[in-house]
Parts: sequence; C-alpha cells; structure tokens
Amino acid sequence: RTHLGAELKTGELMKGKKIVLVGVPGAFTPTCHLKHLPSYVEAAAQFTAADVQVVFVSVNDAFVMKAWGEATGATEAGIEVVADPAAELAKALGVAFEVPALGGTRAKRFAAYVDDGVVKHMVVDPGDD
Amino acid sequence: LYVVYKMRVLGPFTCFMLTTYTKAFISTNFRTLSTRLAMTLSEGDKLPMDAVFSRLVDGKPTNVPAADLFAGKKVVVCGVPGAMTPTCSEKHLPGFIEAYDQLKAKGVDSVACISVNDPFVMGAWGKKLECDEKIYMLADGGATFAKSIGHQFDTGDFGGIRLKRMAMLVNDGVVQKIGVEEGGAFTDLSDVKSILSAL
Repeated sequence: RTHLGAELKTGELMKGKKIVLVGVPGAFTPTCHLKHLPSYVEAAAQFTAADVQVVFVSVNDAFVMKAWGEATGATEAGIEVVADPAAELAKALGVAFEVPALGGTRAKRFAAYVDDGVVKHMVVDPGDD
Repeated sequence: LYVVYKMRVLGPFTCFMLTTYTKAFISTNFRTLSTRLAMTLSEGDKLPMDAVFSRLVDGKPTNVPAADLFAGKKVVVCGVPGAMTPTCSEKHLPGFIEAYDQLKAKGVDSVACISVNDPFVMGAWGKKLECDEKIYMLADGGATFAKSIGHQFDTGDFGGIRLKRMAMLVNDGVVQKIGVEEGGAFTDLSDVKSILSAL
C-alpha cells in the first residue's frame, strides 16, 4: 500500500497498535464523503482517548487519498487516509468487488478492529452503498 | 480489362475463389495487424469516437459519449496522468482554466480535462479548482480512451495505467494539434500556450 508515495507496509502501520481499519468504495463518492468518513472525524477524539488509530483505506491513488483526507478534515483529526491503488489490501481481506462505474476493482465498505496486526472483528457491507 | 483477362485465363470459378480468398485474407490479417499496431494519435488523425467518458452532472455520474463532445465542434483537451496530483493541479490544468476566456474568444466550443480517474474524483477536483462550471471534467475510468489513442503509460504501483500528459486541439473529430509528454513531464508540448498559438 502506498501513502504519500512512501511504501507503508501493513506491518509498520499495524504492529503493536490497535487499529480501526475502515474501507470505502471510493474517495469523494457521496456516502463515503458525506456520511462515512465524517462520522469518524466527529468521533476522532474518542478513538484517540482509547489509544486507537483510525485508518481509512480506499482503492484510489495516494494523491487522491491525500486530497480527500485534507478536504474532509480527517487528516487534521488524526485519521490516517491511505491508498490501496492495486486493491491488494482489498483482495487480501476478501472485500474486493468490481465497480464498472468507478473504473474497476474497489473495496466493499467495511470496518475492522485490528490488534497488533490480527483482525479481531470485521463487519462488511453487502452492497456498494 | 484486368477482370476480363482474369476471367478468361483462370475461368470464372477460379477467379471467384481467388478474389474471395484474397479479400478474406486481407481483411482478417490487416485488421489483426492494425489492432496489434495500435494507433498513436497524431496530427491529422480522426479521434476514435467509441470512448464513453463519465462526468458528474448535479452530483450524479453521467455518460458522455465522445461523439457528443467532439462531433462538429472545436474542442481543446487537457489530458493529465492524475486528478489532484501536484503538477496537474498546480501547473497544467490551471493554465487551461486561466486561458479559458481566450480560448472561447478564438472560437473554441468546449474545453475538456481527461484523466484516468472515476467521475467523483474528477468532480471533486473540478470543484476544488473552481473550474467545473467551465471545463468538462471527464473520467476515463478504465483507461479506454487513453489506450484507444495510444497515449497511455503504466504508473505501476501508483495507480496503474494512466493517460500521458497532453494538450490537444480537435476540430470536428480531427486532431488539429497534439502535444504529448513522456509520462508526467510538463513542458511547452502540453502547455495551453501551444494550443493558443495554433488557433
């Protein structure tokens, strides 16, 4: 996975940390942009207090993710907004699906609680909304 | 006369078979050949019209067939490797936004920006640069258009196949002027100035 051009191996991101990993079908798409990410931005303080890092991931490139993090105030709120451009993470988690309208493979909406690199809990949205 | 000669020498049946076989041979092999030697769009070429772009209209992704945009019109195209990427955002597209009025004054019907991104990203980018009212922000989602004109390049891990940086002037579907950079470089080739000077 790439984040701002620097290779972020999942290991580095997740090792020894408590992570809430949230996947969305697309940066700047309506539900993701207007409801999903904002809800986490609002709750950001609660996550920080619980020593949990929130990570948003989408199959988009690093520049788009950077712009999305800035546009939604997520980056400022301490949320990591990272890119999964080749859908590697999406495929590894079994949430990859084809969205012709968006140009290819995307990740289904999901949220997972990951502790020290191990997925403890995961919820996946069946549809693409 | 040649046909008559053929008929007389070879006999009608042989002639028929020879002609049919030759035609079939040419159409199969030359078609395969032309697909293998995929075209690289140049000045004077007809723009392939089978592409269908996607564009946000009132927040909804809407299909824009290439013919709707290019047929019978003078169109300026700014092609970029990626929406929201530094050079594209800070230097390349802004040049076209600034020159918009000049381009219209010189008889240009539409200005379009094409990138291999989805329509939501293109729409958000257009909003960010405050140009979505003037410039058609077109998504070439599966890189279909980029590949059909032979100006795609592989960005690998970054984002796969993208459109090379380019500037193009298309008149009723025929390329009047085109400048394509190698990959993401930004020089006079793809600058709006080269288009202005061609008008």
